Amino acid sequence: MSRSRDREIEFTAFVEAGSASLLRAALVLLDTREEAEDAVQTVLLRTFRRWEQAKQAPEAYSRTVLVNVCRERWRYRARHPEAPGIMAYADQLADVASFAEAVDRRHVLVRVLRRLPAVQREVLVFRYLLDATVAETAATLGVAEGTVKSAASRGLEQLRVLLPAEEKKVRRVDPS
Amino acid sequence: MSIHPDDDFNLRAALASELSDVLPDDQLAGAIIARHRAGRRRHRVAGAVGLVIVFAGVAVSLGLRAPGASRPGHVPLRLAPYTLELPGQYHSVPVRSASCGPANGGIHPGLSSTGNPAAMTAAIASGACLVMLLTSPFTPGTRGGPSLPRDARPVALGQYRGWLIPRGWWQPGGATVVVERAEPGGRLQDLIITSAGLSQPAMLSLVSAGLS
Repeated sequence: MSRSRDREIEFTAFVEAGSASLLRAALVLLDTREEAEDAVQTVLLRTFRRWEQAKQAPEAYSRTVLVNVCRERWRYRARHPEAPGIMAYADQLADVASFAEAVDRRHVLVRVLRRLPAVQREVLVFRYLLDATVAETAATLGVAEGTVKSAASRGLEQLRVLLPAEEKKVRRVDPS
Repeated sequence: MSIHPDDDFNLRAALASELSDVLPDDQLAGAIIARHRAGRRRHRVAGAVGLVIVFAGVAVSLGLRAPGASRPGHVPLRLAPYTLELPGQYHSVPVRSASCGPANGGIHPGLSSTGNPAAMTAAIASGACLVMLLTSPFTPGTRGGPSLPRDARPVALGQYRGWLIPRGWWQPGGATVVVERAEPGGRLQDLIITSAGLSQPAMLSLVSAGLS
């Protein structure tokens, strides 16, 4: 069997096992499902291009690439404020009952997480969605372990404040 | 699942529950591999196109062009295998009417008699006249060939080697060069370019830049 074919089989096995968690993480870190899917494709493409290097620890490698891709998009958005993300749009919709149904109410928690500062969001995603340890999270995000702990603590506090308000909005729109 | 803050909040369980329906496409790996292959093909094509563009640019910058073609704004003066590209102010004239031609005493009679009169061409510009003629090789000791003056100075003339003939030897008021032409079967003919109204440096510069 050719080396190229082996590579494709290994990569396919990795994608089948790990792409769902990458997509969920991207969905929280970015603004829309479309953006998250596009980011995951970019992450996997970059991982496949460097498969000889990535296959030693493909999960860690792809998570690092995911962080880089998301940060690239945040930076792009910061440089191009004329192209707002869906959050600004969603915030407006939440107060307008006639459009509120367009918001995906199933993902209340995701919407709240998206409102957190970037570091807190990244840390919560890695610690609670990807089940990474403090050390793994710190290594992937390129921050100190103390930063991970404090960002996690502050992020959880923020969630406890923001969630009730978000839940009220959802109940107002959908009393059932 | 309730996400009320008064509940025993478990973010991990809440996220798992909320995002359980978020699944990637079944064919994601295949799509990525196909995208990777397409990208590599594009890179190869782009590389090939880039090489072609680079080669074309190099060719243009080296002045490669079709045989016989001349640069825009230049006047080609052709004689057998040689082409001397002259600046635009020159224009080709019949040898017999050139002021520096043999008919007007511009070339030493001994020199003009060594070459075939048909193998001559001339061009003039304001204050300058130039004649090209083919002769037997000037290699010292060649039977029947003309001999070079002793103080002829070897010079490089673009892709050719040659000699700069002392002023006044053949051409009373100008500069003259003899051009060697290396050929697989040995040198058959040399080229003489003689001028009136041109200094030796100007003549060397003109021939070095324009002779092919």
